[in-house]
Order: sequence, then structure tokens, then C-alpha cells
Amino acid sequence: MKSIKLLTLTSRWYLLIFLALTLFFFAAFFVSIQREVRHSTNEILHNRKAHILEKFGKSDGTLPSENFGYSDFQMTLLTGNPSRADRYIDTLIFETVDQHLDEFRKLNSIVQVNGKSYLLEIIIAKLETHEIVESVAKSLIVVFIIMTAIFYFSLRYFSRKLWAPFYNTLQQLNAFEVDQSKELELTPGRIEEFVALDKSIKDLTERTQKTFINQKQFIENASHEMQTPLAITQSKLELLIGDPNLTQHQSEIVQTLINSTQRLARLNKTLLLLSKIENQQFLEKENVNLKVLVTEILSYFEEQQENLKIKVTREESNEVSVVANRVLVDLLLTNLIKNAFFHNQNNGNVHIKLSDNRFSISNTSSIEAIPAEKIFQRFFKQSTNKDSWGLGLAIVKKICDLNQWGISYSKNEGLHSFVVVFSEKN
Amino acid sequence: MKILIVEDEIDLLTSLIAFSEKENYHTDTAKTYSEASERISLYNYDCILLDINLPDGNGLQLLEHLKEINKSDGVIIISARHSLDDKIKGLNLGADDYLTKPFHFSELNARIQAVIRRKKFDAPNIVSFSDVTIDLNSHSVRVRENLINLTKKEFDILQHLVANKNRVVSKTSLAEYIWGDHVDNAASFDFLFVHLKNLKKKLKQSQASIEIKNIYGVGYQIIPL
Repeated sequence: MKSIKLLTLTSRWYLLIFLALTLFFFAAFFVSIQREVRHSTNEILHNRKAHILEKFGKSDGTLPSENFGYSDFQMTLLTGNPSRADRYIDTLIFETVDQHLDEFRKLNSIVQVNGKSYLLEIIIAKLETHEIVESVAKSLIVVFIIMTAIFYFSLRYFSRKLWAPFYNTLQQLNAFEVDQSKELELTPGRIEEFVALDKSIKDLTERTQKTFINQKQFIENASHEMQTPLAITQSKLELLIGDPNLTQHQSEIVQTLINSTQRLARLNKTLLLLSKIENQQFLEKENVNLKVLVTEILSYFEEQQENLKIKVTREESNEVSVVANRVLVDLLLTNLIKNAFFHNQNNGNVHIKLSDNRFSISNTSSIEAIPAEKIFQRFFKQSTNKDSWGLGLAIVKKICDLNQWGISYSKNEGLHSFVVVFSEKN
Repeated sequence: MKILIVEDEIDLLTSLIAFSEKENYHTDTAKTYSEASERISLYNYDCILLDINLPDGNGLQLLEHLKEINKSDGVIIISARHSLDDKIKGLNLGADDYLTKPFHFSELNARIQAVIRRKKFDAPNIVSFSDVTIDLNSHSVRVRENLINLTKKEFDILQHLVANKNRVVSKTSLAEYIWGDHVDNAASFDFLFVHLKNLKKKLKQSQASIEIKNIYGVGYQIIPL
């Protein structure tokens, strides 16, 4: 569902309510004004009747007027002696001047003058209904527009002020990273809801951070605790291989035990390394000459290079160096170079390019392109090599994150490439 | 050669004693801080293997104690803590080396020998075995008087095997000595095999009276002919 701003949504509802209220007021005004008009008209008719009767009583008994054409009343002599209460009614009378039916109010009254009964009818022009409707509507529309405008602008103004702490919190949350010990700086102001929200968020993030730190601590402690039993196992096995009474068969068993212990020890060492990087235990920075470092690292892979007949090409414009922790830079480049050699193929290529602030390495490989979001995950591995855990690239990513360097992976025309962009600061 | 092993983990301690005796070192042991501090006050050692985490104190304090009583015994810290801080602290306090558990005996042995060599003033940095002489400073190897030409890795292998002449050096530890963390096990054994083949060939050509023996595919030992 498409999301909508809270402000827009509330404004819509308020506008609907405004509209409904306006219509209601319109109806109410209309009814009350109409009633008021009728009431005052009736009063006028009543008074007029009194005047007419007074005049008529003093006259000689002839009817003052024949019909409404010349006067506002007419009197008709009635036979018998009927009696009835006064009746006020609405009536339409055709006005010959503008060929139009006009609204009138009429009083029907049976009066006794000089012992005779007459029907007295008095009419009076009335304020017409559509005129009332028009004027009420006009004023209400003006009120509606003014109110809406004031409402809209004040809402915008206030909401910007009111929601400021909310947007601040949102911004902080977006920038929040669980592996950084930085606390959130929330300024909830004095709005109760935001104070409560910020408190909850603060509690939540603190708890998360705490859990994360505990988790890190746990990995580190567990790894450390494993070192001593590993040392014991390894030492006993090494004592065993020196035993001259060992048979060929026993030796083979010992060899597999040594290999497994070794793998476990290395995995442990790698996990420790990862948590040490996360705990920022590599702080000292120095100027590291990358060209020299790459040459040194490559020397460790000579055998693999010869074995697979890999062609190594290097492209270095000048002496490239970076200010960083030497151990970490070494680890970063070693892991990338190791990757390029060990996932390579017979008669493959490794191309290393060093320029101002970037290191790129690409290699041939039979491995398909790897989804970029997976490649840096811990324990994600594509090869069937049992000595690889899929931690090398996780370490690479960690080191880049720590130094705020960019790292990217791509596959093009059978070449897997990694590019590290050392930040501008260096 | 006198060695003190300070280690509270009994199983590891017995391994270390067996190792030390095989190298014909005179071996003393201490399982606690107080025991160790008493021993170093009473005797002089060529090398002390020091575990930092002791039940009644920190091994680093022992280094301070050594300094106070003006002793310059060689010290190798053996720690389960893979901590840079401890390493720097230890080395600053006068330790000669720092080894993290788990370690290979061949590696420990090489380091002990290096520490002992360093402690001997004006000793030439030369190791010899049978009729082969290895100059550790110039990285040269002579069979009797004749210089033989070895690659860096062949030199490392030969030197490491000679340093551990009393024991079988496992393939794993030899590979780790040469490549560190840079290669994976499976591949490194093949590479190691190639280097050893070349080394053996060169030794044979120069008629050296030593032989590198393959022990059931588990490891290698250098023996005089």
C-alpha cells in the first residue's frame, strides 16, 4: 500500500469534517433564519390586521378594497356566523409586471365588524427562500475557505515545529550502526509522546548494542578458551609422531588428527582476528608502501602460480602508499591476492593494478559470478575446498568498513574483479 | 642448557616437559606464580617459557620481578591470549619472544634456540649439523667448504629441520613455518614436497652426509648419514 504522510492524512480527515460541519451549519442556519423570517412576517401581518380593523370599524361599512391588485388586503362578506382561528399561509401570486410568481405570506382571518362576519386576507411580500439559501451559503463558503486556509498554513507551521524531534530521531536511527559504540543523541523536547518514543528507542538500541558487544565478547572469549585445549591436543600429537614404535597405520591416523587440529586452530585464529578487527584493536597507523607489500605477498604464492601456470601482470603508475594499520593492510591485500590465486584455473591470469588511491585485482576463474550481497558474508563459500571457510572476504569487508574504504566486486568477461578505493583522506 | 617452564595447565606442562627432555635441556617447572618467582630468585635459566595467565598472578609481573633482581634470563611468553597489548607489554618488559597457543614444538624449539643464541655474546650465528654449516646471518649453507646454492624456501626448510634435528617435524608445522597463513593445508603439502625434493637433490649433489627422512608421510626428520 502506498504510504501517505500523517499530515496529509489528518488534513484530509479534518477537511472532510469541516465540510460536513459547514453543510450542517448551512442547514441549521437556513432553518432558523427561515423560521425567524416567518415569525416576524406573521407579526407584521397581525399588526396590519389590527390597523385595518381599526380603520374599517370607523368607516361607513363599505369594503375598503376589492382585491390585492390595489391593496395588501381584501375583505369578503361571509354569510352565517363562522368562527375560526387566524391562519398564516405561504402563497404564490402572479406578478404581472415581471410575469413571475412571487412568494407572499398571507393572513386568513375571520373578523366581526359591526355585527357582520368578514374574511380578511392580508398579504405581504416575503424574503424568498432561494435568497436566504444564497446569502447563507455565500457567507458560509467564505468562512469555510478562510478556515481551511488558516488551518492548512497553521498546521504546516506547527507540524514542522512539532515533528522536528521525530525527524531528528529518524535521522539518528538511519545512521545507527550496531557495531559502533556511538550512542544516539536524541532531543525529544517536551512532547510526551516523543519523549516516550525516544526513551523506548534509546533502551532498544542500548540493549541491541549490549547484546552485540556480549556476542562479540563471547566469540572472543570462546576462541581464547579454545586455544589451550588446542595447544594440548597439538602438543600431544606432535609428541606422538616422534615415537619410533608408531606403525605406518597409526602414523596415518595421527596425520589426519594433526590436520584436523590444525584446521580448527586456524579457524579459531581467524575468528579471533575478526573479532579483534571489530573491537578495533589495530590502531597504530603508518605509511604503508603498497607496491612493496604486493611484491612481498606475491612471493608467498609463487608455488600456486607455477602450479597452475598463472600469468601475473602488474600495472603500477607510481609509488602508491596509504596511511593505515600495517597488519590490516597486509591482511586485506593478502586475502584478495590469495583469493585470486586459489580460485584460479590452469593457464589463468591475475592482473593487479595500483593507482593513486585504488587497488584492483582481477582473475580468471571457472566460478560463476557471485551475488554481490552474498560475497562478503561470513561463511559464504563457493569453492569446494575444505580448507576455505569463506571468512577471507568477510575480513576484507571488515577492514574496508573500519577504514571507510570502498570495496566492490564485479564479474566481466570471465574475470572476477575486486576494487578497493582508499578514501580521499589518505 | 637450563630451562624453566611456567605453566599451570598440567596436560600442556607434561607435553612441554617431554619436549624439553627430548632436546636434552635441563628442565625445571613451576605451576604457580609464587613457585616461579621463587625459582627465578634461586637459579639462573637460559630460557624461561612463561604462561601469562597463572592462578595466583600475572606472568607479566614475573618479568618485572626479573628486572628488579637484575637477571637477564631469556623469556618466551606463551599465551592463550592473542592480544597485541599483552605482546607489546611483554616485549617492553624484557621478554624476548611471544608465542600464541596453540604452537608447534618445532616453532617453539627454533625460538628457544634463537633466544639462547642471542643471549650468548659474540657467538657466531652459525649452526652446524654433520658436515653441513648454516650461517644464519648471511643465509648461506656450506657442505664442508663448498657453498651450495639454495632458494630462500629451501634454506628455511633446511635450517628449520636442523634446529629440530632431535624430532620429527610435522608437514603441517613445516608448511606453516614457511608460508604462515598464506596457503591452505592441502595445497601447501604439495608445494612443500616440491621444495623438499629440490633440497634433497642439491644436498645429494654436494655429497652432504645428511639425509632428510620422510617419516610415514607425517613429517620429516634430518639425520646424519
